[in-house]
Amino acid sequence: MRCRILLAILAAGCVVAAQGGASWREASPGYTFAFPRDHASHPDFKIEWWYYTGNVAAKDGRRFGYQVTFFRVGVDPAPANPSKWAVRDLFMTHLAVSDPVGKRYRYAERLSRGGPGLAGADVERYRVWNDDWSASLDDQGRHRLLASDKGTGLDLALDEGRKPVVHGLGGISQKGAEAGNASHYYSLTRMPTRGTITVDGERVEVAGESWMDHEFGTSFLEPDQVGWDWLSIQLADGRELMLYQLRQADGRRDPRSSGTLVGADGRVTHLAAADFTLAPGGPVYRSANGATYPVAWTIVLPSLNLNLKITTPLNTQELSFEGSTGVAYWEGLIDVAGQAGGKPVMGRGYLEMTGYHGNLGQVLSGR
Amino acid sequence: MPLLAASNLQKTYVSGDARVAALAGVSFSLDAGDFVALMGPSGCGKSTLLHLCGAMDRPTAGQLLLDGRNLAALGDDELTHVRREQVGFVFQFFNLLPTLTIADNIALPCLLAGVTPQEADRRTRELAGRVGITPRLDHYPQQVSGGEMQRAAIARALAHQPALVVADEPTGNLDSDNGARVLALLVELNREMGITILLATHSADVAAAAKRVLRMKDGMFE
Amino acid sequence: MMRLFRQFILRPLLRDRVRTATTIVGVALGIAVIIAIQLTNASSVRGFETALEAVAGKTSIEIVGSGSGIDETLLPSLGWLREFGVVSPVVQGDAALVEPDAVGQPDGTREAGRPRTEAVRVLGVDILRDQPFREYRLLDVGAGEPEVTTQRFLQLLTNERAVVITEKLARRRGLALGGEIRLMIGDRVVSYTIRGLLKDEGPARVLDGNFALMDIAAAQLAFDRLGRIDRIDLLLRNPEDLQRTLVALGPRLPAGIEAQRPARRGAQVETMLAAFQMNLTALSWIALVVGLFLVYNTVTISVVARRQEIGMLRALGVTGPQVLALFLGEAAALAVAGTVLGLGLARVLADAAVALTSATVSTLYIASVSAPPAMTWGHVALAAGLGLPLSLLAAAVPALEASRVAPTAAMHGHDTLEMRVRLRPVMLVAPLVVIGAAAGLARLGPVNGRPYFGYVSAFAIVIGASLIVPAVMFGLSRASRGFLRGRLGVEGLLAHANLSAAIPRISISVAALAVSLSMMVAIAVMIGSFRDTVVYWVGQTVRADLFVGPGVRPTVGSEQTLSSEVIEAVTRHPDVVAVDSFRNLDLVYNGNLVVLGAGHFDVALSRGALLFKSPSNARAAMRAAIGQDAVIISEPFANKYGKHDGDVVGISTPNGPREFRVAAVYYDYSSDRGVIVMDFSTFSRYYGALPPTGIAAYIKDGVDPERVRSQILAGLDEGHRAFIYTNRALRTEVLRIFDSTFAITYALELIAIVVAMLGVAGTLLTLVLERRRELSLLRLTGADRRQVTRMVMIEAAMIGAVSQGVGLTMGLALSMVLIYVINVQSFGWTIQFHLPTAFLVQSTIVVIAATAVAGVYPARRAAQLILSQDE
Repeated sequence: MRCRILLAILAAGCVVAAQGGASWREASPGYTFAFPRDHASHPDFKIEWWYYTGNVAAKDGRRFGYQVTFFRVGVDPAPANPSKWAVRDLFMTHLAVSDPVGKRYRYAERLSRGGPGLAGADVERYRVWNDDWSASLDDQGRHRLLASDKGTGLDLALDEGRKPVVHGLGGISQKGAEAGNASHYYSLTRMPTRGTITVDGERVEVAGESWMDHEFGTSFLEPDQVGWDWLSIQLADGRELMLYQLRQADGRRDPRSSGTLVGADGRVTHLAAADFTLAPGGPVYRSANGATYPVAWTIVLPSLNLNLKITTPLNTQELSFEGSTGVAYWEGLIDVAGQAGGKPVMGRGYLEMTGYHGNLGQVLSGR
Repeated sequence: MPLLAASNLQKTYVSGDARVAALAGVSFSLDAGDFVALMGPSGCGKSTLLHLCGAMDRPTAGQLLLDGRNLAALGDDELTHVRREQVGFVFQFFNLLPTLTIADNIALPCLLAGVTPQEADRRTRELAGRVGITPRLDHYPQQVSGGEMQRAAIARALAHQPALVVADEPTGNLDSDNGARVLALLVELNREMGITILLATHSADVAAAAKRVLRMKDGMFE
Repeated sequence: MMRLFRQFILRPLLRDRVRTATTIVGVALGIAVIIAIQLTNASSVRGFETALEAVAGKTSIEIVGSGSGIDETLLPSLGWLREFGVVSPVVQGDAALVEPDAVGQPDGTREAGRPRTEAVRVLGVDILRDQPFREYRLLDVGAGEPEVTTQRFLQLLTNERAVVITEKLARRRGLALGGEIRLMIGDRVVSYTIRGLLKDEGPARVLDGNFALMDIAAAQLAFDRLGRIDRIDLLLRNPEDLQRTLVALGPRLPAGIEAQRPARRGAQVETMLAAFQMNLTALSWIALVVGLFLVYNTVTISVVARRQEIGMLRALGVTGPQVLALFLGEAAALAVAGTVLGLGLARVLADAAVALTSATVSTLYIASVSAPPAMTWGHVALAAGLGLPLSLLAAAVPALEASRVAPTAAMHGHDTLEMRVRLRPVMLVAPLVVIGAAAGLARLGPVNGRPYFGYVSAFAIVIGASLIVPAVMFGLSRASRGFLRGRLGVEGLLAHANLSAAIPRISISVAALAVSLSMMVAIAVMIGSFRDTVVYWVGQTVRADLFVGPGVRPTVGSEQTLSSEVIEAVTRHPDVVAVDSFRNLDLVYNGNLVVLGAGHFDVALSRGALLFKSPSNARAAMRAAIGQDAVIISEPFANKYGKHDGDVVGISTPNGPREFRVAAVYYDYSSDRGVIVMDFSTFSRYYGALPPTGIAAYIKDGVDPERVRSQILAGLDEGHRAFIYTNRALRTEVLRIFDSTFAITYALELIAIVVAMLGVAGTLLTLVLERRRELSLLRLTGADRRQVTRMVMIEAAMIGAVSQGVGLTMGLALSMVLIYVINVQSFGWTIQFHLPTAFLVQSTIVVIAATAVAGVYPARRAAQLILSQDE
């Protein structure tokens, strides 16, 4: 649920799309996923993203985190201008590499229109690219991630690992009160990963586990929603957990906050808002642009007797793209420690915090 | 009626704040056929008087009748016409235009007065014969002697048959032989043609040739 | 010495205001014309270059294609350019701002040319990629948005009818954010919504704010360039690697694509305009020469009028060199005053000159700004560097004369009159030698494509003719005496005598005036001949009944094309029997911009009538060239690049360099850049199917072309605006363009002549002052004011007549050099010599009358001289 990032772009899309006659398809219940076809693009939906995060380590045990996200934001489903440069979609890609040992966090973006093949997402076969950055499926069914910018980069091969997990109910993940405010959303929750990560020109061979989200839909948010907190956790006991919590303008938690728990046996449990609490507490990180991020959280799932403390070894994992899109959010690797059914449990994961900088509602409404 | 009659003629030059009275009120008259010599030291006013009488300048005050017309009251163009028709002059030097031949110089007053070229030519030849410079007619002034120049000047002064000839030191720039010749010429013209001459000179010899002598000092007759 | 200078030089200068003012104005005009032309020339090139720089922004290298831009599908394969820096694809062109009142009136009835419109430079970019290159500062995009993100910027532009214009343009044309702006591109009129306003920074400064930013997609659509981009801008990560990168890029780029520095386009334009501008510069020097002659005159007057005073100074112990210094000081004072005034005047003249030339430059070459650039210290230095030393040189002759005045000159009556100078053989031999040299120089070829020897030859003619003036005057003096005496009476006699005696003095005036007049004559003959040649050429070659072009005139760097709607409207008209469409491209050949044209050879052969220079069977050769790798070239191209039929020209095509055989050379006066023409089939093979830039249509016999034209125009919808010339209208238009091209030439000439007139007045004044005693004597002898005035005016007219006579002869010689040497070498075209008799007769009358008028003031001064021998 990485919507905050999209809001600004979404607003742009609304303004332009309003002029054309064509419209985007909305996420509706009953969608049946098929793989690997559904890894590929769904251009009739307005918004789509492929989101990879991972906790990896070098042979010597040095720990690294990475994030690569390919966003496709529809601007105009059928531009009147026959030019290849006419903006049907915008492709925004974020790359981030975390080095908690070296206290380094590096990130970069690519923002492109499709143009004559400069960026795009294939429909037939999974391949999405933005200039020289790409994510694709190779002949062996492995996900290949390739992105680098000025000494920061990665070149990774990811096995799918466990089967895809579809979030929500009936193939649909509801985000707002209105029927269409929803998406189709699945994850690959524990992908064995190997390859190289480059930080400040230093190339390191790494291996570890990744999490992939692929989500597509047309409208996601409602005006009174100011931000989210999202996290993905891979517990050492073989379970995976995804939670997101929508924050409203009045400071309350949105009732449509939800999550998914994947059991060690692969069983998928949908979590409704009432099933969990996700609360900040402890240290905060104040970023250069003035945002204050709570970098420590507590998760309680009473029904499962699961209590988890979330901390991060690197506070500074904020991406901020003031000049290009105005997007700023915190996305970084986390450590998980707590108890499950009375026994201690450890884990790793990724935390995303959005809506801490700027006024989300204003951007959302396109004003 | 006298040809020329001056009464209380005054001429004052203004130069800056200074006023110089060149003529302080002179009265005299000149009959047709007269030959009067003005004598006096430099700056006595004789040249000024000569210029007034020759219609070259206007008096500051007083009356100057030439042939019954008051020159003091005439404008520049009228004075020009008076000079062109009634006055001839001979100066000490620079009487002739250096760009014209002697013949053209002599003919000039006639031509300016509108006399036909043929008539002007006839008169020129006649006068040149009289003053004795016929061989020099096609020369330019700087190619002839001072005496010849003065004789040519006299011919020029007579070409348009003026009533009055004014001459300012006409022999002053000549050696005595040539001076004598020029003076003799003037006397002869006065006598034979009845030309009225008003002449200024330092020379007693020249003055002696005149019928009358008027002496001046400090802008007045003595 | 300073006191002496103040009392002896400055005070009289202040007292004699007319003379002083005349001289200062003369010098000022000379300086002003030179600086103004410098500014004007700079304005077209600098205008282009500053526009180039403003648009280039931080671009280090641009990647351009041969032909019309780059195929956009090549872009993904050029991803490796990222190694060097960031890239931004660009579509760029010029649009015309459509006047609101002209909307809906597509010029249906008038035969006039395209209306004068404001050009707007349109830049189409992908703002997502372009922001590192150029500084765009949006003024205000809407309520309360603190800053404009790239993505927000994109949002403003992402529409095929969205445009961001400059605040300056909006203010000037009363346009508002959210409002409409109508742009004409090619033959299409499109209404755009103003989505943003740019502050006066970066590219917004182009063409004085006539700048519009579009999305690259919108620009492709607007300029009918779908599938193509004009260039790829590259911003190097390490700008110091520029040279190395250029070298590295070369072999890696696909065929037909090359990398260059953005400034190269400026250099190409500079070369293109060089010939036109060099001619203007050469002309502007004439004005200075004449101005210097005025300085000579004035100092001469000072010296002449004050010989006695100089004598007195000498008698009082002032040395000769000190006297020399005094008069050189006078010249310096005049020069300084003239230079200062001239610099001020230059600004005004430059505005006028730009107004006169910008039409030409933008008609024939490039879109330019009609405002000259600011004057720099360089211009001030040039003015001072010319004005002062040359004035001192001009004053040297009279000042030397002054320094040689004997102390006895002070003594009354001992002034030495100028002796009559006799004609000496050297006065004939020297000028004849110089003129002979001129004839020899005229035969030498160009250096670097510039006719330097031609200019030297022209200069030698001027010198030779000036030197021969005294001899001519002696001759005329002998010959004209009887006539003047007989016809003009005593004043004629006197005038003749005066002039004959003053030949050494007035020869310089006559020479100066003659030089000015000769330039006028030469240029009149050259232009007249050129015009005649063009009229003949147009009459022979312009055969089609209708010529259809886009509403916006194409210029370098901005192609304007016809849309299929317009082409169809022409083709489908029932009375149209044949159509020849043609396409022009800017092509870089040998580093210069030439025109590559494409037409249908078969139509041109069967219906058109090109005039061929060679070979003798050119029509057959052209027929054989159809579909082959063969071209025909224009005469200027042939002359400039030394190509003849049978030779091979190497042309860069999108497929890389190719060689084309020259089938024939044809006469062309439409472009001095040189034209290469291919058959359309050959052209399409190499350059793809590009929309035409014009079409020529042939209609049924007996049908009124005017009616067909009106019908075609009436059939066009609101969004299309073509300009259709009938055969007759096109001929008129060609001549209109021709005439406007030479307007500046005449204007410059006029200035030179005015200055020369001032010179004549000055010379006569010198003569009057010099002859004060003679004039006084003349008046005493009975000459009235009228006669004196008449005499001086006859002298003036005589000077005019002699000057015109010499000027005519000199001018005819110069015109030969202009036509057969300078024009051929700098523009490359053959002009048939033709004498504009009527003009020459008229100008002779005008000059004589004008010089007589110039004599009025000296004449009045002469008539007013005090009547006294002993002042």
